[in-house]
This record gives sequence, structure tokens and C-alpha cells, in this order.
Amino acid sequence: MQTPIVQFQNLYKNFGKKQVIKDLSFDVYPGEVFGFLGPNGAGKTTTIRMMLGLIKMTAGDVLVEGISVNSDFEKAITHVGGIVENPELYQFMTGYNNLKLYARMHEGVTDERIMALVKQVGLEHRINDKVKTYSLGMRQRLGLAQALLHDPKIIVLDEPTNGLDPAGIKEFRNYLRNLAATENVAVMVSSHILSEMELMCDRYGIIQNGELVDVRMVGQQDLSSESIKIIIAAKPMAKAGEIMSAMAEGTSMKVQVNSTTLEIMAHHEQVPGIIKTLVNGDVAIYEVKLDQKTLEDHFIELTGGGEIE
Amino acid sequence: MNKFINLVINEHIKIYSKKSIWVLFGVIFVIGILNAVIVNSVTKNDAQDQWQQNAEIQISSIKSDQSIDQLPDNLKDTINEQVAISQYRLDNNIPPQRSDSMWGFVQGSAAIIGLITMFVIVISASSVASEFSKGTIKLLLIRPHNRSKILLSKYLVSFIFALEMLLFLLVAYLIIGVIFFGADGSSLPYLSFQNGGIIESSMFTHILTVYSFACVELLVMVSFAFMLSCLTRNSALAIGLSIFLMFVGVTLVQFLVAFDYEWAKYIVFANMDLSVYFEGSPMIESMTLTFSIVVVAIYLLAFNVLSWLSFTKRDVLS
Repeated sequence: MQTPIVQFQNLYKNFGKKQVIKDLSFDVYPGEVFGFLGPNGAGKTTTIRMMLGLIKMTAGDVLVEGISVNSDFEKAITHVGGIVENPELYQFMTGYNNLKLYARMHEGVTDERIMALVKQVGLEHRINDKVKTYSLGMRQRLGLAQALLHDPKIIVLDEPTNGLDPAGIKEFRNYLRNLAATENVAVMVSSHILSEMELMCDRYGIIQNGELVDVRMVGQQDLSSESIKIIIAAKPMAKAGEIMSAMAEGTSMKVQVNSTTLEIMAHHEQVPGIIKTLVNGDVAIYEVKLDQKTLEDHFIELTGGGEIE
Repeated sequence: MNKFINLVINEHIKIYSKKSIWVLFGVIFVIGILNAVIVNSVTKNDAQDQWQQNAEIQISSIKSDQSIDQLPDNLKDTINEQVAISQYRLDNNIPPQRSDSMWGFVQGSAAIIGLITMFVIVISASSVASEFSKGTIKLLLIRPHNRSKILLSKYLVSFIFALEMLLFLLVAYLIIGVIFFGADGSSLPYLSFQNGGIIESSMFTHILTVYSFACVELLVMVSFAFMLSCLTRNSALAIGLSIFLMFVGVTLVQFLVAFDYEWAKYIVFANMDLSVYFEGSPMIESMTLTFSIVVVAIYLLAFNVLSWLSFTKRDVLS
């Protein structure tokens, strides 16, 4: 395994007596898009703000490239670019002047770099307009440009797609995927919109009530042991039902015949056998579908619908 | 160090990127022109030519007025100093600077410094607070600069802005003065009463002195508004509260002095104007220049420590 870019180490945060983050530990690696999921109020934003130095940690630490955010903030944060919620930039200034402002706070950001980024995020026609005239999508692009100015090793985005339209979300997603793939940048995204995260992320961690409940790869599922639901659309249905019922007898397989589909509970490796039997029995097969668990199913299963303590 | 200068440049740009800032400068300039127009029309046929007569009337009326003896000591001192200066003018034939001369007009600019104080309070009070109100604080703090440096850059720029406003006032009045009253460089000496005697100094030196004392006052007000900016994190509240507390503070001090509450001298508003130790007299007799400097220094320290603690220690949740 690669060396991680960011390491969350036994992170705790108390607001007064209330413990909002409890012993949070996980790593983020270069070149991956890491989704940080959880119901509202689970502690996603608090965790991200602790990493960015906006909120003090009660205990534990976050290391960026091995440097402690707690004890060497200025050095650690040079590797990080971030957007916290909606990018709130200086509305009374132009997009370009906003970027110049942030560029001055980092070392070695040239004007060429700024213009290259402006082009990359597709703002070149509007960059000399005041930010107050920008749509949310354009602000999001400008936010991305400011996060990338100083060539960070990781960019952190807190609920970045809030308020974007579907086309905007898709574009944003592709951009992030591309960034991780081509520049080997780690992208950490927090969200509670699961369908979107499933498309965007390589790996995700689920947080609930301040505790990490699971970290896994997207699409990773234990196919060998559990039985899965197989849905087959075939004709004629009566004949297909008969064949399958005969095949299922005496095994753990379960068959249910609907008006146009068959629903079969079976193991993954039994799928080719089922199809072969049906074909041999002169049944025409139109569609075979594995009803896999989605991220959403997994999320609900883990968080129990996401009640906040 | 280079990195820090960039922070200062950034804060300066933020102030001057707002269009509304030019309104403030415009207001000062327009007031200057109005002031010149009024001076021009009012002083055409007034009594400035008969200054000797006026001075004699003033001196004799004060000397014959018995009620002056009942006034408090510091008022009596001020009146006696006025008499001494008028007498000195008569003895040495030095007329007062005409208000419709260039230097006389520039001298009048000191009355506008109060307005500048208000403007500076607005800018200082919104410096930190508006970043919180607008949410821009988040993208500002996730840079390789710790919070102390960011705070210091904002504080310095608030004071630099105050100095720039003062400089603008002086230059604007000089230009308007030249346009309306001619570039008559010669000026009559400015007379002041110091250490029991009359001192002659040049008008320009006098004006610079007035502006320097104004800087002390502005520094106190900048620090005060800046502290409220850090504590409230809300621009409207910080601006309102600073202006309100400034008026209440100044009025309260006058009220307490009028009723002989000696401890009023420990309030910062009673000590901001250091010029009283050079001309005129302090609000309370037991006050000295050193005392006021120490009081002002302690308040400045307290304001800045509170700003710093609030800005660097509190979480950013907005």
C-alpha cells in the first residue's frame, strides 16, 4: 500500500460537555477520491474543519504528509487546498482579483498558473467580472481554482455539490475524478447525497454520531458467501417457472415467479448454471439483472436510517 | 517577512476594492469645498481687519467680569491664557491668522478629524467581523499563515487607513486652500501658551502637531473598534457598538467630571487627547501627561490582547 497523504489519528472533539467526534482514525491516499459520508450532524464538517485548522482538536491529531496540523500548521496546510461549504469569496472583487489575493498568500504561484487554472475550470470569459455577478456554479468553479492554486497534494471539499444543478454536479464529478487520476491528487469529499458519492468516489468512510462505522471500496461486496437476488425477464414465463422450481428443489435456492420476471435467490457462482438450464429448456431470455446492494442500502444498514444522538 | 507584507497588501486591497470607500474620500473633499465657499462669503466684510479693537474689548471685558473668579480652576486657566495671548498680539503687533488665508483655512481642517474618526471606526469594526459575516474567513484562514499574523495585518492596515485618511484631509485642504485663497506661503506665527509663557511657532508645525495628537486618538479608537470586531464577529453589531460606546464614553466622562468624580480619569476617553497638556488644561487637575500616556498604553494593551485571544483561540463555526 502507498503512504497516506492524510492521517487522522484518534481525533476527538468536545463542544462543552458534548463529545461530537470520538476516536476517529483513517487515512486518505494519493490519487483517490475519498468520500466522507454521514447523516447531517454526524460530524463531517467538524472533522474537516479540524483538519483545516478552523476548529481546534480536543485530542488526537491530523498529519498531512506526516506533518502535524496541530503543532506545525503553516507547513502542514501548504499541502492542502480546500472549499468549506459554498465557496465564499470576496463578492466586491473580480474573480481574477480574488485568485490574486489567495495567490499572494502562497509561495510561487505565478500569473501563468492562475490563468491556466482559470482556463481549466472554464471561467476565462467571466474572470474579470465581479464575483457578485456569478452563479453558484461559477462560484464553485472559482472555489476549485483557489483550492488548486498552490498545487496541493490533497483537496478537501465540504458538501461541494450543495445547490448545484444535475449538469453542474456531473461536470464537477468528472473534474474531480480526472484530477485524482491525472495529477495524483487526493480528493476528500464530504456529503450526505449518496447516489452522487457512489459515482464519484473510489473509497468511502461512513461516520455516525462522531464515530467511524465503516471504510470500504465503492462496489466492494462479498459475492462468495451471501446469496443475491437475480432477476430474469424471460418468455414464456410459465415454462421458465417450472424449470427453475425443478432446479431449486432440494437446494438453498429460492424461486419466485412474477408476471414478467423471475426472482431467484442464489449464490453468485450459480448464475451461469441457471441461464444455461433456462436456455436448454427453450426459454427466451431478455434480461438478467443482479440486484446488488447500493451504497444507499449499505448506508442505511449501517446507520439505521441516520438518527442523530 | 515578505510573506507578511503580502498579507498587508491583501488587506489594503480589500479596503480599497469597495466602491463605497471612495464615497468617504468624496465626502471629505466636498466638505472641504463647502467649507471654503462659506469662509469666502462670510469673511468678506467682517471684523478681522479690526483685530486690535476686538482684542482690547475681549481683554477689558474679561478683566471687569467678577464672575470668572467663581469658575473652576481649569476654566479660569484657559481664560487667562486667552487673555495673555491677546495681550501678546497687541504688544507685538501680530494679527491672528485670517480664516480666509490658505493657512487659516488648512488650520480649520482639524474640525473634520472627528468625522474621519467615525469613518475609521466603521472600517476597523468591519475588518474582522465582515469576514465572519460573509463567510470569507474560512478561505482566509486555511493558508500557510497563522492567525496571529492575519490579525496583525488587519490591525496594521486599519491604522494605515486612518493615516491615509488624515493625509488626504491635509492634502485636500491644502489644495482647496490654494485654489480659493491663493498660494500665499507666508504665514503668521501661531501663538500658544506653554509653561507660563507665550511661544511662537510656524503654522505648519502647529497643524502637524494637531494631526499627530489626532493619531493617538485614532489609534485608541481603531484598537477599540477592532476589539469589538473580533469579539462580536458581526459587522453591523461591531460598528454600531463602537460608535455608541464612543459617544457614551465621551459623554460619561464629561458628566462624571462635572460632578467631581475623580475616578473618571481612569477612563480611556478622558486621556486620549494629549494636546491638553501642551495647550489648555486636562479635564481633571490631578492628571499629567505621563499619567495619560500610561492609561492609554494600558487600555491599548488590553484591547489588543482581547482581540488576539478572541481571534486566535475561538473555533470558526460560521
